[in-house]
Amino acid sequence: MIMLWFDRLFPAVMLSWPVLVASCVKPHPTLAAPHAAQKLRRLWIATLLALALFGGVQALLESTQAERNGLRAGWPVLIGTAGSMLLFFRFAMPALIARSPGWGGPGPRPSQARVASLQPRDGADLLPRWAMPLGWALFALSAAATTWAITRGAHPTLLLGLSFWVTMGWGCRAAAREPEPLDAQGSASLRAAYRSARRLRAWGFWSVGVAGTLCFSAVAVVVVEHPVSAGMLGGVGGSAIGLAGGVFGTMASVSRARINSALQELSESGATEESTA
Amino acid sequence: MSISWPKLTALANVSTYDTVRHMIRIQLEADVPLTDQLVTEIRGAIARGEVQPGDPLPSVRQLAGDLGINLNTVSRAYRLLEECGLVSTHRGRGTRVTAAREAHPALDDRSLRNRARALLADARLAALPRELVAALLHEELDTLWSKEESS
Repeated sequence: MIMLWFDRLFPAVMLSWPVLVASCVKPHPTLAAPHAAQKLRRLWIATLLALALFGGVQALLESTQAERNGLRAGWPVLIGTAGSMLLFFRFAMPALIARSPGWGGPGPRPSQARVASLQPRDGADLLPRWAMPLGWALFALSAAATTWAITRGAHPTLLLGLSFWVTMGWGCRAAAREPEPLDAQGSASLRAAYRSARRLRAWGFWSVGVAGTLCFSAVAVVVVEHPVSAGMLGGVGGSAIGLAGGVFGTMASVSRARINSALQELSESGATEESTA
Repeated sequence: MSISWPKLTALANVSTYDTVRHMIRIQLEADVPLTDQLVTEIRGAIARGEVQPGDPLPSVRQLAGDLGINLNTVSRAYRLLEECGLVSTHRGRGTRVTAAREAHPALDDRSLRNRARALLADARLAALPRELVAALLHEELDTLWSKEESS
């Protein structure tokens, strides 16, 4: 039963989650983009392709490899987590923003006056100073452990686990680049809320990147040392990371939605003040 | 060159803002092109010393995203600032402020007087009240020259 969940249900749930979230969000009555339906259709197609890819490879692995090994244990975790992230950020987020701009998009822009900060955000104070060196150290440790395991018979595809760290870098940069429109007064509270949301997103990517890389290297080592436990470790670790990523994603979306409503209120009150004056 | 009343109002709206440091503001409905507004705002930030030589400016993508305007508009504004020698752009390093306000070639009295005269003549032709013009000028002077420098 546990293996059924780890091998089949968990990846299917993770791959389906972005399209389910996007489909459940109602299109905004006035702000929905004309191409919203097209973006949702693309997401559906990408999800079906990902599910087909997962199902095909999984069936192939189960039919050709009777014994449970690192590849069989790692594949559902990799496709479940990395596939889900790809589907969410590449396809679901554009679809969500097109349907309702409050969802992760740049927020409403009701005012004709546009305000922006001259402070660059690329790499600025997203994480504390120790976070990246620690991440790189853990990455190096994971790479060394995985290489060691591969030289002793673990499957080379386990090196794919290192891609989690690459995803983290991309995610952190994306977290900084998300538009942060301000109200006409450039309110400090709004800027603080953006900073906090930016850090939350960066922490989410960092944590998933580090945990994913460590999990894969641990699986690689366990495949060599105690093969019977590899599947269990990969399943438990992978699904925990996947679920944590989902939680972080939801928290980030909620914080973005709150900021958008605060921006809306601030802009409306600013507009009222201007018209009164 | 004459400046229309809405254009002057737009300029006034743009320039009177700046109670928050490191912030720029543009007006979408103003007659002044967005590129010119951006150049004016960033020049103002450099003139006030809010951004110093060597300071990075936001990427074109960031500024365009935050303001909700086209990437090309920001890119064009940065290019104009670069032509003025105020910023420099290098691939991979982004755009940085290059000129200190002290280092920027100063206007001489005569050209400054000519420009001020032309601007004030436009304001007079637009039938702006003297008090408003004076208030705007004082506000800009106060913004650009800190009290310490004045004293």
